[in-house]
Amino acid sequence: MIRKIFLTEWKGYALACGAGLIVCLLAAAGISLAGAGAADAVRADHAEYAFQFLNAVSYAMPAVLLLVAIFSFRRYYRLAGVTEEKIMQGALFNLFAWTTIFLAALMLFATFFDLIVFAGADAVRGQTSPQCMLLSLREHGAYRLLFAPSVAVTVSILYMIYDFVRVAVRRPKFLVFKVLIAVVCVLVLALYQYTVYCMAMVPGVLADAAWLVPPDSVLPVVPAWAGSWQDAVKDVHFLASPVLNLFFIAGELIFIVLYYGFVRVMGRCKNEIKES
Amino acid sequence: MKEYAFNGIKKAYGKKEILRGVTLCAETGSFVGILGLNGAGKTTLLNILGNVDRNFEGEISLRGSDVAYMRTGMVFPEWRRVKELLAFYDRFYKFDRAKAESMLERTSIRKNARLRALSAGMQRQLNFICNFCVDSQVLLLDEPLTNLDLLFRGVIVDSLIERALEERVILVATHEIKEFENLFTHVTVLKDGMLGPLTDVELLRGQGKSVEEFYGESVQ
Amino acid sequence: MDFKSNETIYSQIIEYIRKQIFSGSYGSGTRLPAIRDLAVKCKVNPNTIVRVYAELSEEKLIYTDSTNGKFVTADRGFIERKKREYLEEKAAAFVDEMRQAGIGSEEAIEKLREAFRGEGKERR
Repeated sequence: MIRKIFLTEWKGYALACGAGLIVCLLAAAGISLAGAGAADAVRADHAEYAFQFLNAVSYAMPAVLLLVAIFSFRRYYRLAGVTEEKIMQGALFNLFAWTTIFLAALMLFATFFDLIVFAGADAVRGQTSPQCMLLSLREHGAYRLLFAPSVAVTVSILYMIYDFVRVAVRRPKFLVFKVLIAVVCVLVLALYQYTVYCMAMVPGVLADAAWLVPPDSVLPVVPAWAGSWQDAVKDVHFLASPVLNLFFIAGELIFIVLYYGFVRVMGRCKNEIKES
Repeated sequence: MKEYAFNGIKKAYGKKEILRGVTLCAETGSFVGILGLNGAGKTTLLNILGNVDRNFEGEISLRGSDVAYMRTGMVFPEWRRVKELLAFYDRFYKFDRAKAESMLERTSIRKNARLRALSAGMQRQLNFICNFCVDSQVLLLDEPLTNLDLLFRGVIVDSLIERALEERVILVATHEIKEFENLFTHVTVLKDGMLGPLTDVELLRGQGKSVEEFYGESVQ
Repeated sequence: MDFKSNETIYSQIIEYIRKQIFSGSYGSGTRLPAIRDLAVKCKVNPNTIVRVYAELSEEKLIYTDSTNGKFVTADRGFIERKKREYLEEKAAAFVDEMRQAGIGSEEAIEKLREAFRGEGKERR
């Protein structure tokens, strides 16, 4: 059923992602061309602006995809006999898949841009701050592609929290109680996520005082190994999650089980049809 | 499936009760007319039977992809294309795509057209063709003839006749009795939130009463 | 075909087919239309046609062969007898109506002759 939902919706998502990439292409080309032929420092500045634009898109697009997953109104699936559970699972899968696909494509583009814009001008590249080249594989290696699914995991968790709240507010009859329940759930779940996060940071804190998560960090449980695998430069991205971190994995698996159990017990809607 | 039944369907919008315990049982092979005035709740009832509305009391013997429901509006997003709608039906129902395409060829609907580019009448034609070509146990039609010209009304009537011998139940909610009265095997009237008893149409005529008269009396 | 809305459809179709058989339009041994085709032609539910054919079969005016096709009976004598019964029925009903209206047999028969003559003129 999830496969069928993916096949039905892929065009819309592909168009949105394609449009996003085209916007990136135009912006990056425009910004860097504006600085063409100028002094090295100016060219470096323009390259930085272009990269920062791409970084902004790496926040914007997942946010857009999350909103699409939340607000898409899929009545035709109900007509075709799909249960609410499957509709939601389909939305979640699409969110995860397309966030990953888009960010991977964006990183490939950023790498390509990195090669093109600095072609034959290594000095300019030397003056460009490495911080902004977060998405370039030339700078960080192919392992940086792990960034794509790591953001997908983050938005998926956010979607699951939304779904949790949606199921929780079914019971109360009055709006006041619904709002109360929603606030309580969001607070509790946010606290939970924060705890998982902090626990995942323990080895990192012991190794280094950095605060936010490196996108491709493979933070081992045993701090003694910390130094060998970490990034030399700690790029930060708010939406990345430490997907290879054991604490994180354990914490989130528990979260998924609790969420799934809660939804199953509370029920999504009255009079659900039998899955055909 | 020997029969299609629903029992005690209740639906209220706030304090206002639209359906107050609607019940029906139809054998396979029936062609049932659900008659009623505008605002009687026919569409509300069909939305519940077609799984669009799940907020109700009562039981229904069958829902899901074994039920094809032709609604008054278009459910698929308007920016999509006709061929995508066909693919959707193919994917989620037991769909006779070849038949649907051949029926479409006789209309002026192009497969590549976007749904919003179609006129209201063409959208209804498409809606009917898609639901008609589903191999379902139950077919629900909500005012299938509105917005359609004489030619396509004939197509609908003929298509329904051709499939009326199959083992399924067809429910039509309408007040256009003229075109359908010779197709109905049974009729019932939705009034004051309740469905009247299922009346055999030939029995009615045997008593010298036409369907129109029966309907007229029932809604007084 | 136009049907009266307050008489059973199946009886109206049976009547129509009987007349076709009696008049020879459906000669003896002729194959009758398939259920679906006749249903589409009359714009009625095919279950009605099923009932029509069932009753005509029971009357022995038609029969079903091994391929499930329906045929007018080959027994011409039988058709003639049925035709006479039909005439007797209609005559009895007509006479009944005339008696109720107080119209005498002479007047009625004369009018019948006129009516037949008038029909004859239209036919030429």
